[in-house]
Amino acid sequence: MQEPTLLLLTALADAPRHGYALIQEIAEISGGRVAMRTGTLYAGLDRLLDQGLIRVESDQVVDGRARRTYALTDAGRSLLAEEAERLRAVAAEAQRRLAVVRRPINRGAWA
Amino acid sequence: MSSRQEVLRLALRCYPKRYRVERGAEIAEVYAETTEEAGRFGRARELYGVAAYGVRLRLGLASSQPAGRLLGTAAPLVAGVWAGVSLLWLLELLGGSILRHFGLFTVLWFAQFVFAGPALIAVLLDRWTLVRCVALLAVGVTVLVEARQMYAFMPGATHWPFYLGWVLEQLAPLVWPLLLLAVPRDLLDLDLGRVGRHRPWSALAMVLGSGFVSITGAAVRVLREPLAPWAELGTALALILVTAAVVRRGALTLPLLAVALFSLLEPLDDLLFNGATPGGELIVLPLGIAALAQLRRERSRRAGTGVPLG
Repeated sequence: MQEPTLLLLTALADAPRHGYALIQEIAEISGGRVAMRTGTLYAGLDRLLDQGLIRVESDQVVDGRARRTYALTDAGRSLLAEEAERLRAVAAEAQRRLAVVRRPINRGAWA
Repeated sequence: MSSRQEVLRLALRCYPKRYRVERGAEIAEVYAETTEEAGRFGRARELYGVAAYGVRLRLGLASSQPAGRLLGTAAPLVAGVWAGVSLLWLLELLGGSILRHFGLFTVLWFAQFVFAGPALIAVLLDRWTLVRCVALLAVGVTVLVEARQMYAFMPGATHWPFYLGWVLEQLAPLVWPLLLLAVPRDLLDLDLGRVGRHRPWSALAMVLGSGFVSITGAAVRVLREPLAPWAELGTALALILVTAAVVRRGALTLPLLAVALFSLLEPLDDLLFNGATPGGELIVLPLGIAALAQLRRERSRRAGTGVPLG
């Protein structure tokens, strides 16, 4: 899964959100590393809608502002759970290997 | 209406009408909130992003559209063919008389073909931002060189079909970097460690394949014909798209077999077309790649570790 996709799905995992809220959430999730631009956001949203991983939750006008909120579909939730599990397994393995203190190779008397 | 709103309205005009009606207000709100505290540069960058996505949608090149997805899959192959074809053009140029007039534009002339090399290396390293920068540079240099050529060459050439043919032929090298620039950006981002590992190999195979064509001399023969770069280019492009479509579909299907049969026409080329069609070798290679990718995919699927393509 590509990083923008993972970030978008993660931002929608706990609650439906509208466009600007997604940009803010993604910045927070990535620790400020990713500042998603409006064009990139809508390219990603369109792709995920097309793939059936997200859906339009509601379409309303709040304080004179057009607000369309997006939510994960069941397929999107399953995919995100699978990806999270895969990443967790890789991270756990990385930590396990890092914890192993390897003894230096003994070159013996010939070294 | 403020100038900022006017500029945004113009950017939104880049979107297809239906999409603009449906999503325009929403995009405008997100843009307004995103740029509320942004400086002039930040606003301009954001506006460019909004307009660029609109143009992509209009051209059918967004990542949610079939052509965009196909280009995403074909990108490494495009880079490979660009490098291979550039090598051929470079060899052709080295055999010509251009070296007798050494100067800045001679350097630029060669540079437009040399850019394909760094682009391919960047593809192999999965550095797609670098690939796009190099492609953009290649387009800029090619336009500069050809504009200068036109200026120097045209006063004596008033016959417009000749002029048109000459322009088409000279601008042929632009197609490959332009295709790389057309690939949706979000299909090229590095993922978190599961990038399809077939990409470097397929790109490398395409370069080697193009080299093979140069050895056989088929492509060089074609390049000497008027408008031949376009004929070669069209064939190679069709092959890439067919290959990418087949690889995406993940099956050795009827179109693949049809193209494979077409490749068998090569031995009859001289007899039927007096050697005027592009080399069939170009066809065999992507087919081989498609078949290998398919076999690998099936093996991975059986092992339960499918590697996504594209």
